Amino acid sequence: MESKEIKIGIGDLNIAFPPDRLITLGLGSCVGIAIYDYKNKVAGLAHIMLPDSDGFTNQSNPLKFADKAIPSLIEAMVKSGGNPAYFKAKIAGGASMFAFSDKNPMMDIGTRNGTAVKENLKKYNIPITAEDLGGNSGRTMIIDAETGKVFIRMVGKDMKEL
Amino acid sequence: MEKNLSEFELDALREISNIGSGNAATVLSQLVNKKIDMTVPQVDVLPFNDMIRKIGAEDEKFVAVLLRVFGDAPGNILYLMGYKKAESVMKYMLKDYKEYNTENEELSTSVYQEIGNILGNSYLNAISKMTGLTLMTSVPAVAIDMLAAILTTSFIYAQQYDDYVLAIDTHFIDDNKDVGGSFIYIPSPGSLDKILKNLGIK
Repeated sequence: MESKEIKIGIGDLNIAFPPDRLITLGLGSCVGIAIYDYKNKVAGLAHIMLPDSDGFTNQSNPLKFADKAIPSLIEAMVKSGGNPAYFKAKIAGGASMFAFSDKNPMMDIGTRNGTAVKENLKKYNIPITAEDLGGNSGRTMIIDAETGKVFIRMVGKDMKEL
Repeated sequence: MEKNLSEFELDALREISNIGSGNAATVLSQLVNKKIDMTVPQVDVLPFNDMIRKIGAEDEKFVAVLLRVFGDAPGNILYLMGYKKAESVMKYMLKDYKEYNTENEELSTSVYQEIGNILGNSYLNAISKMTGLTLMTSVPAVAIDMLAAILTTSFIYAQQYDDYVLAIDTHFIDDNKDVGGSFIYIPSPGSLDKILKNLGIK
């Protein structure tokens, strides 16, 4: 069977089974959340851009918020035969793309996204086995549903395994 | 987001952007000593993913200069150049420049900053004059990275969190018909209203 690569957009998530892969391109201050059920071989990937849906009246796409996307991702994986007892997460992104001198909290959205993702994964008892957060560079994130391996690609650097 | 702009309002926004980008294009021509044309500005209200794809591939390498706009109508100004294009501009601006590396990183960053600064401010000056609004810019920040990472961050900085985002963009065209960069104005919510009001349209 030929493996295909399923692309996840911004504020989106999807599920894959072996031999397919999930990919999300160009995470800046956004955070990618890859969850893998190592027993049932179900992979999930979400791409969030904001930490918290609180205070937003327009929630036509809740998947862009960390606090909504994570339970949705878990639910989608369970529906696809995953068991949360075997879920492990790897997360990447949350960069500060532009280095401004002032420390406006708005500008620190990358850090806030990272923190929110960790808190939410903890809330649902999903252990984080690896993370690649912060810095000043964008990241492309790939998860292989066959092995659960997560790869990170950055501009001008070789692909690395997370 | 201002999804429901009337045709008349869109026209007005295109027109002021036209004048602003015209100023910027003139300055860019002088900087690179080459004739630079530009496309008619487009006012787009698009979903995030479409907005990115309109400009390029998500993981395509771009040089971006971001200026934050303060004052009566806050937002961001983003000047984007495809990496190859940026390198050719750099070769023109700097003697002995071959390629971006750790040695010339600081110098090339400051050249990019300066280009963004000059273009951004010539654009804003035009808008300021026409509307009477006070607009100031931050020190420019440079990123050389994937397009999607640059754009999402720029919209979030402008507090555009909606599913639909608004941008006014112009492409610069040099004599080879290559796109010489895109110039994107990303207003914060409410800023367009102020601009339109001050133009006597709203």
